[in-house]
Amino acid sequence: MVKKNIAEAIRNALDIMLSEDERVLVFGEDVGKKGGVFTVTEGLQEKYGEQRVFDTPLDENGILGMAKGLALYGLRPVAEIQFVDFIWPGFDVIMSDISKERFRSGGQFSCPLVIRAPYGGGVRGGLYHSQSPEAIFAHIPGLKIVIPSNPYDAKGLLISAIEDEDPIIFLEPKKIYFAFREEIPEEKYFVPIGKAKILKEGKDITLISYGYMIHECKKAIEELEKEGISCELVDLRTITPFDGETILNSVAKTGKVIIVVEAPKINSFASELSAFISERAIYYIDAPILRVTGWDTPFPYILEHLYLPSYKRIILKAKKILEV
Amino acid sequence: MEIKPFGSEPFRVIDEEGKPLFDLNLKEYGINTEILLKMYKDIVLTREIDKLGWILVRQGKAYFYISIGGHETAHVASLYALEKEDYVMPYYRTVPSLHVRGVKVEEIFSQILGKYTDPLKGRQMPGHFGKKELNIFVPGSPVGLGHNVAMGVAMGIKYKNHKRVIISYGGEGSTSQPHFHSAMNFASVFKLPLIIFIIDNHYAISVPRTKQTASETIAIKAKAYCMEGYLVDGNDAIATYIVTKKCVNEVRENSKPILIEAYTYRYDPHSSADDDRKYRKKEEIQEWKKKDGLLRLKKYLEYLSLWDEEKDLMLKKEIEEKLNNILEEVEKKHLPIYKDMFYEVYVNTPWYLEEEYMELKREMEG
Amino acid sequence: MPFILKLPEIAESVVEGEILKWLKKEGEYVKKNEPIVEIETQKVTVEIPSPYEGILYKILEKEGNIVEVGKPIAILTEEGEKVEEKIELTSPPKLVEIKEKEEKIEAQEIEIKVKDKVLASPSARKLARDYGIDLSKFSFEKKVIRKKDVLTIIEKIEKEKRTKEEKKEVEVIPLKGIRREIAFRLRESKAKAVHTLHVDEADLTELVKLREKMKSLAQDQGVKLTFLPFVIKASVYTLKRYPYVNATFDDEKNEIILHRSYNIGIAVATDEGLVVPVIKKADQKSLIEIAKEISMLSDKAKKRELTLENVQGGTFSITNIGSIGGLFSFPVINYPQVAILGFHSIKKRPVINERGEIAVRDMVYLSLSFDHRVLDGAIAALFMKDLINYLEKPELLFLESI
Repeated sequence: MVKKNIAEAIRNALDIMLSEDERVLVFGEDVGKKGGVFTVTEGLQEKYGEQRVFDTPLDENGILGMAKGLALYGLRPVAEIQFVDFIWPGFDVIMSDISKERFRSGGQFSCPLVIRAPYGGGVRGGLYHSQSPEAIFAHIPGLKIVIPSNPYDAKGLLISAIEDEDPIIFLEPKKIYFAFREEIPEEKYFVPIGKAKILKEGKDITLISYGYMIHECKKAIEELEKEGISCELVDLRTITPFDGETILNSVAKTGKVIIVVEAPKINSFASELSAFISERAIYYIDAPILRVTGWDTPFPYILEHLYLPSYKRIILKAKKILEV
Repeated sequence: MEIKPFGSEPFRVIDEEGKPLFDLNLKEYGINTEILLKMYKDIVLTREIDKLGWILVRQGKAYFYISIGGHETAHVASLYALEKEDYVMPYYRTVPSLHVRGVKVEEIFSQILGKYTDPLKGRQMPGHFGKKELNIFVPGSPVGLGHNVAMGVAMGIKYKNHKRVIISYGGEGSTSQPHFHSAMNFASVFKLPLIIFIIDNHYAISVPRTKQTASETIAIKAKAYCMEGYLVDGNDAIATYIVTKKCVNEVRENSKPILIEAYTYRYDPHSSADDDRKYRKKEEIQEWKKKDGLLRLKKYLEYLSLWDEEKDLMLKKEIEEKLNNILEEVEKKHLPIYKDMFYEVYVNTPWYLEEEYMELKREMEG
Repeated sequence: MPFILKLPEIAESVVEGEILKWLKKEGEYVKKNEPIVEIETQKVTVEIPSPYEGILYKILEKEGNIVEVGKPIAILTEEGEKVEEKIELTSPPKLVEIKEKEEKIEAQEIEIKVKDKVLASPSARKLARDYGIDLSKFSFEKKVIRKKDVLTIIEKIEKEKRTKEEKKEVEVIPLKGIRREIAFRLRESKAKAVHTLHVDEADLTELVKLREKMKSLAQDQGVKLTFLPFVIKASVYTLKRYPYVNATFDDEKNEIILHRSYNIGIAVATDEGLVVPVIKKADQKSLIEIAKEISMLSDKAKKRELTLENVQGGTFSITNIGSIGGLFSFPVINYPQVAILGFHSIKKRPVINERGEIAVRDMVYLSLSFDHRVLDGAIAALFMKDLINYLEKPELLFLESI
């Protein structure tokens, strides 16, 4: 076991995959000598050479076109988009090409690739270094979307993602890249894609979340426990294909649910989960399904602490839900 | 005869009457009479497949058709320059010529009609075709994307040290897309074995070439990327073959990207859903038809005394019969089953798609 | 078999087309894939290649016609083929039957393993919550409890409550409203007045006849004529002779107040209890006026619309309980008045007449309850005698009428 933070855990996963699989290539803007703006790829170019770990021109469209082509040619590209906020020049590649390859070719071709991108707020990044666009990708059939909330999952999920046969968008919660270290195994291990994890069992309310928001949920749960309120915390981990079974069983057990995401509320993934729960478990629940989200504005700069859902916002909703 | 990049006029070796403009030493380029005849027959076959594509849509049997009419020569001749292990990123107009790479005519018709015998399982509109074992990738409809992805494939070829080439087709309209730039830029930075082959057919639907770019030629755009750009007469089968062959060889040997512009013309409307009388004159089409690639190669073959009218009639009759028989059989094939809609979205069908499939099944079984 | 040429769907989203030009004439031979007709649509203008080789037998849509996609436009036949008069033009489209093969996918909806939960619709839960019902304490046949199930439970609970109430030995009803007023007044009356009863009987045979005659006359004026106006009128005449009966007693001052106006209280039963509205100045009103006022006051009483004015200032009261039955009763004086007359049921009874014969007469008992402090027994007996006289000889009422 070694103590690692999320950034180190991801680096560790890349290191393992680069060392054991010649097909794995790591590339993007500033990932080479600099080792990435969040140090995630630090040392990897030195270790594996410019053929395997390399910088690209400043063009996300080219990065994603390259990733797609490499995957078609049987390689395992791991492309880094410096901030997910900058992915849009290459959106056409994701939307029109990567996501549809297996389907549109009648199963002849597949597109096993990983697009890594830091996402989310909390680092005073303003409008373009803070967004959480997971729901936009979740609307595209053919993509898998993975978001870890801790070092253990970050490593295990990334290894699973690189070995997966489908294209994966791997969103890394940048606020907690370096926030804490955890004991994780040194060797290779997998965290399954498509499986949520119940981080804490409880009986009064189910909280469903992912990424950095898991930690706000944890704080809220601590506070609520002081008042005798017991919450169950589900870390979704995979957005697509999400783990419906774990969600439904937790919600059916507690009868109350709050979904916490940092994206704007309208059409967020919280909205999808809310609809899913109401379709499948409405007879089990005895209170409105609530969403705690960012506001429906562009991500603000100086007031971001008022934008991001805080544990206080979660507590208020929890109390509201218990009123009924 | 020296072939140079960035010519101001399209490079050609036979004139409109099929007469050689140079003292051609075809053997130098690996061309023999057998290849010439075969290439001619393939161009004729391509044109006949295309005609049937139009007929299928006009008879209401297909919902859509997008044509290769006018650019058969450019496609067939350039495909001839590739080796078996090379890769093709077609665009929708390339498809009727893909039999050159070994695609069965049955499959081309199956794709147009969306039958279960379509390797794509009826999932794409006519004109979107690919075949993995023949190293042909599957294009989508968004213009230019293929260049960008082909660049990635070229990166893979280079990474694996394979002596292969990928050729990516697109119309001149595709050069306006960011994908064209991304592909050119990355390919030149990383020195990738990529040929971007622009079928400059003068129209992107209704927008003429002059409104697509202010560049004198498409080929010249390569200069800024420190690449070679060749302008060739796409209606001259020999010239197209020679130029492409030269480029393929260089790309294979030196791992570098090259841009080729094949100067040609689109005879038909953009697609079955377009009416070209709104934006161009019949006379313009007639003028171009005089320079038709098929006709020129035929005349050249006649000039070489390899071909005559009788043989030509025989060939056309033979092809027509063969194609009609194939089409008749394909028309009898059934459509894909509805399960085909739900799988191959992911490698393993996720639970919600299985549920959705069962939902449709219940709906279908009433 | 003739071939029916239909207008194909030529381009995406095209729904109709105009026949621009037939490129073949009827009777002409058409090769397969040879252009046969030129069609103009919103998107494109095209020549349709014939999907059939044969004779263009008949053109169904002439040039200039606008035709829907899928509609027949021509009939083609084989050379020399005989064509029947009637051709089925709209053959149903051939459906390609596709059998799904053995499925590898056998999806089951996600199973929720939580078993000890009450399944209920949100509206059912809200209703239960609002009513304070714990749904887990009830058993249901259905898997999911809906609003109407909760309503059924509520109804059941309400019913149980009612039966419980009915089974109680006594029912305690708090005293309030009119009932409280009645209780107070009656207790005062009984506590203060010295109640004494005088009972007599009257032969109303003549009055019954008279009323029968007058009833229809009154009816014409829209008035229901009962016996009560006659009793009031008779009482008023009698009271005039016995001023001490038309009096009130002032307890505090120890004074007897004799009244010159004749304000007759009449007891009216309502759902809330007995009320006694007053017919003011009954001596100055005709029978029909009194009849009208009785019905007006009893209506008001039943609708609880009586004003203070309606119930104050009475000098003498009459209670008419005859409609229910009984021989006679001992009415309670409407204190501080000094007497109340009880008028009972009129029944045919055998009586010995003046000639010593047994005769069947319409008889009634009358009871006069009086305050012995004011009236002596003899006065009461005399008052009753005179009253009976008026009632037995109703013509007297007219003699004395003003």
